[in-house]
Amino acid sequence: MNTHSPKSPKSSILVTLTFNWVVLLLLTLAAVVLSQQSIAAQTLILFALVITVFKSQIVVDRFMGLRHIDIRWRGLMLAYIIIIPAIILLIYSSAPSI
Amino acid sequence: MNQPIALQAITSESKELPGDLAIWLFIFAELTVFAVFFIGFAWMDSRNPEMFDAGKATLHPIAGLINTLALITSSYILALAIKAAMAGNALACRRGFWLSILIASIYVVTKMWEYSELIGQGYDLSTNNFYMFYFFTTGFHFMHVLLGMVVLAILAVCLNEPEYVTSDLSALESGASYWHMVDLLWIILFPLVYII
Repeated sequence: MNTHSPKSPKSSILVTLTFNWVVLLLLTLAAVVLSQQSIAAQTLILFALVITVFKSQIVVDRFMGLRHIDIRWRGLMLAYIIIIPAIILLIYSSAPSI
Repeated sequence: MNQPIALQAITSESKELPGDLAIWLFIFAELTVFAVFFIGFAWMDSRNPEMFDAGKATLHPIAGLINTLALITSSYILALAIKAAMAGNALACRRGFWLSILIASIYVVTKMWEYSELIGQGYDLSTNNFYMFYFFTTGFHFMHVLLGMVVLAILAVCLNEPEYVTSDLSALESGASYWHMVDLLWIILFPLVYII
């Protein structure tokens, strides 16, 4: 019996998607746990938005399947998931009372 | 050894945009609209911290967490369903679509529960700017979830015909891309409303 058969491409895709799903769940839980800690507001905002960018990138590249498509389309999506959190960070950073 | 054509389709990464071009134009239009809401919410929150902190204290972070986990899981199941469709497995694809809808219904029930709790406590769109932004932004997203579930259900019914996975893969990909966009929007909205 061959106990060292290579993984089939189908099971490799399943493993990749499942791994990314678990990472998304863990990142979500990490954000919630972070929000329960007594840390500075600016630090929390920064970490929460960085986590959001990572989670969004997984959805765009892995679930939507844009990882290997034309860079112009993928670039548009990646620009969105980076620029919007960056603007949000800028807004909170410039707030007088945060 | 050559792989079967269906397997090649899922292993060789396609350079083509998944789904129809029209759905992507629609997705980018939706993303633009939501960007205005996100920026508006962040601006109002940062300029009215007392009001927004008090408003956020009346929300239910566990409900937000459950909704996030539900949408992420639903999106994951749908991604698997699309891979099954690419491999020509109509049954697995159809099951994936229905399971995705079922998991998404957790979001619907939880969100409606949170709305009813808040409305029961006397909060609504006219209470103050926080509740106006909260109900409007999450409500608008909620409408997109419902629309997405209807689209997925229609596609799942179409999948009763096994040939549909090969004859109209593009429609399945379009529906899935829309659903992933709904997930993506919530991933950005969740920290704004419940974390920050």
